[in-house]
Amino acid sequence: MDERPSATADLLSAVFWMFFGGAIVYGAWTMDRLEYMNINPYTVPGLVPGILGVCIAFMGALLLIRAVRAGAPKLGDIVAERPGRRVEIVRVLVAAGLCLVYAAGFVGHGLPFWLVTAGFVTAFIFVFQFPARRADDTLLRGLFVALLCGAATAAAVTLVFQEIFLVRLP
Amino acid sequence: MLEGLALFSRSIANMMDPLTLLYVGMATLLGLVIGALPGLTATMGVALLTTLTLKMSPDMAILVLICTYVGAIYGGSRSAILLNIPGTPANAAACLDGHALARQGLAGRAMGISTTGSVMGTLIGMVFLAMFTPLLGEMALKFGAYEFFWLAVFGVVVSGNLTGNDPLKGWLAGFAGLFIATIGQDAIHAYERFSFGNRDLAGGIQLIPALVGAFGFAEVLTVMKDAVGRPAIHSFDSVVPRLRDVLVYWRTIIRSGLIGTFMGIIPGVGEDVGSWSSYAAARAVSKERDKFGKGSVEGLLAAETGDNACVPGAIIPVLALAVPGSAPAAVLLAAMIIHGVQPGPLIMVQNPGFVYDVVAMMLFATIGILFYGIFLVRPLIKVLQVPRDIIMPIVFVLCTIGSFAIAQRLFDIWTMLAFGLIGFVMRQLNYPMAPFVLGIVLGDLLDKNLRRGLVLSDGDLTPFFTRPISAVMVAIIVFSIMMNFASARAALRSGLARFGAALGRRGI
Amino acid sequence: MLKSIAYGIAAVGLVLFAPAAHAQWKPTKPITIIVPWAAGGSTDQVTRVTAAELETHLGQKVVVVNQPGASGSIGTKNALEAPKDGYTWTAGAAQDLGTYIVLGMLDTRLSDWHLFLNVANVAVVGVNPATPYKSVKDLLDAMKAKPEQITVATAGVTSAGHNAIEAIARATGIKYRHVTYDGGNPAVIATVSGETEVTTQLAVEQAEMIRAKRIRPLAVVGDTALELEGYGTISPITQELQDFKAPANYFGIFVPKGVPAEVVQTLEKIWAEKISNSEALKKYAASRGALFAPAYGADAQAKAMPAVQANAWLMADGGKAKVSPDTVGIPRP
Repeated sequence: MDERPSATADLLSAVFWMFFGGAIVYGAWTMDRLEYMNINPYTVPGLVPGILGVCIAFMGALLLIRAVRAGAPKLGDIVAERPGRRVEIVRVLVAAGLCLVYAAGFVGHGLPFWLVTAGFVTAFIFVFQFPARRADDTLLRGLFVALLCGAATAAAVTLVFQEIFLVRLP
Repeated sequence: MLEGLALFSRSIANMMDPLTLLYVGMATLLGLVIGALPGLTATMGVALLTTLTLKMSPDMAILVLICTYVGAIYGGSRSAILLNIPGTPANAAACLDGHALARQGLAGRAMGISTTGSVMGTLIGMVFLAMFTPLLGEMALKFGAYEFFWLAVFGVVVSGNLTGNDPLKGWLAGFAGLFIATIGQDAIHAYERFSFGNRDLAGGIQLIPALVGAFGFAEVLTVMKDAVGRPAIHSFDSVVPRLRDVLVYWRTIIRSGLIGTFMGIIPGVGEDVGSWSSYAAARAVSKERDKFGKGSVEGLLAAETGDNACVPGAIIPVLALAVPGSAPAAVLLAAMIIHGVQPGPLIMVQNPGFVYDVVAMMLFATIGILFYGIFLVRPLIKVLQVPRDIIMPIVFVLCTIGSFAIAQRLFDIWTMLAFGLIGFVMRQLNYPMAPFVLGIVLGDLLDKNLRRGLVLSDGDLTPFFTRPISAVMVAIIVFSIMMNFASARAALRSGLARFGAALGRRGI
Repeated sequence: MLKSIAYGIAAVGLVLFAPAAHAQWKPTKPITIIVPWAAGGSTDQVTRVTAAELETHLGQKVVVVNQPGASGSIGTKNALEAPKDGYTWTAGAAQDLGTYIVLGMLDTRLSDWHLFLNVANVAVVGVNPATPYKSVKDLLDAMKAKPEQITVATAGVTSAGHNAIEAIARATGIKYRHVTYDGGNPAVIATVSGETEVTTQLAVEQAEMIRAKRIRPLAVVGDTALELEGYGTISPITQELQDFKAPANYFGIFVPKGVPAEVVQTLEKIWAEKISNSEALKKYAASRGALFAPAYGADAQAKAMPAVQANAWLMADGGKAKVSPDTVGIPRP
């Protein structure tokens, strides 16, 4: 949070909140009122989500007004390319991709937990150290370090969670 | 009072043997580890140990549980300071100043401050536990549906106000969190809201996976984003808690201790709200207000004193009424009952010694965290020197297993991933995470108590505003919202000036 | 020759020892009991006491995992879907287990489970001591005089407390104002603090407050009196309402059918020989106002069914059932 997002970004998120709040209000309004169960009308399930939806949409509107006063939408905000932006996006996508593949794709789908974990940690370290290692010509060493960390993490996590905290690992 | 002191010293004397001290050491350490690992919380630690200690004598078992509880709340600040990931929901406020201090190379100092805060907080709460248990326990009964409703609103408004630099976005995040909490079966009619027919969603979004995702996974992505890594932080400052901090900030410590104890007593509200309210109060009256969020000693001290003072606070209604003041205290209560100790209104009559036993256990736990605060912290700081390429995948593995560990179902891992991605995007857009997560904690309280209050009053809104505690809370909420507007501040200032002038004219 | 003798001995050995080895189950890894309610509640407490007893007799760790949510149906579902190797059990009230199917929450019947019951709980009508109601009659008269005015605290629509007050309402035609809380204990506390006037939660949840005279018990919702340690006798509601019926609510540990036979046999043996003499459980029950009621097998099914019937038909009559109880083998009581 070192840099503030542009007014245009605020405008977009404000629009999102207004839609989100509106969708909640709609969902709450059309929600079953459970009249056939003879419930007390003050306890209808949609009451609180409805109020929250109104609040969210209202605050979204405030944010919208603020963003417009600050000059949004500005074409420059969208077009302006900060140097290094692209590298950042690639890095985030790679990190998120590795994490998702590990946690959603492999964990709990048959393979033993320690193996998947060792593989994930090794791959993560190796991938992110790859550019620097290649520049220094220490790729093999990098792979070794990554493998070692992966194995150590897998062993420690399995031991601690399975034996001490008695968690049945996925 | 003297009789109490005698009972207290007898309790201490009874427990003073090498085996006890060994248990204290082990249990506090285990609590610390559980607290520091994101996903494993004090509640889970105490529940796990309840089963493992069933064969011990009741005194020993309860001692172990209390040490674990205190250790976990203290331990959660370790990961908050070092990694910017709160180890338990209670430590979200400690991230703000704690991690800022660590970034400035003052990690040791920050941990020392959190040790000071935790020790002092526990001690203050302990004094109240020892002296006013029956009296304060009754206070828990003063909180009805109307008060709980406002408490939930209060938590989100205050936290939204404090984190980040944009209150409007803080509140938006907080209200989004409140909404998230309403997903799944509603607590009154078991009606499925916003679950779209999905059985897992019908069970609701669990807090811990959401917390671990929004703070943990999102932090992993944020750290990995920068092309150039942050320089490794070398921290050689002393980790030993300083007596000077206590002397300089004694007002903050006592105030936070009182607020924390009070929040602990209120059932259903735990360490998280205790820590936020202490932090808010400290900022409101601080002379170094601008430093809050950027590495303020006072802020970190307030947060950490506030959450640890909650622990004895939460045990007060357990002993006085058999009503738990927080989620871990609920498990502790169950453990006491299983071990044949029946807390409740009769405990002062039937078993007065037990209250002082608990106070003595608290004291042992405090000594335990002080011990580890001095001797165990230095190795922990080494974490800061591990390159991010290596530490971050390990953190993520812990996030994954931590979300899974509590209920052992895969859906919780998916929740963690989803909230990590949402959290990352929100952080990029300058929306703070803390009110979002606190919203998820408090949403249930808000939902049930608003509707319950309406049922009780038969649709009448006036009790929400006229009951004394409600009225005070409404005033605080309105005040803290209004203070964000320059015009309101000016009006207040001129109003005060006019008031002062009027007083002056009358010669007062 | 020697070889064939050896084979012969081995064969005899197999025949002789195989059934014995079959009957005695020796778990090789920790067993998980899923408690589908929050840690610290009444199911959680009694399950942890029972788990400790089982641990001694099985020689293996028994881990209690709390998976609360959706009135206990999520944790129960996970136990049902776990591998049928005998290492995942669940716990709770048999009447909940039997009515999930009626509510459309889970497709499982009571007969799909091996029930190992430990205690039975009864509901008690308790009032705040500051209220003027000294007897069930006072309360019922007041409820008739002021319909929908008198507040009754329960743990929600599927709770034992709500079943109790609904049954009373059916029997007498009274109307009350239903206020729901997160669990039995919060409902009782609301009555102690005066937020509500009446609670009809389980005796277990009111015991301590009754002893401390913070709640005045008016009657047991059932036909037998309850002896509460440190208080005395609470008389049954049938003294006032003669033909009132409320079956007891049995709690226990549930093992899904389809697990290896030796698991069930071993558990039945432990229940017959150890649990039915368990001092720890007896002590727990006596101090909490519960009835110590160990049962297993067909006996347990027979004991648990009346409460399931009562509960399921209450839901059906209240419009809350998605499936009619008689289509899933739950006849009207």
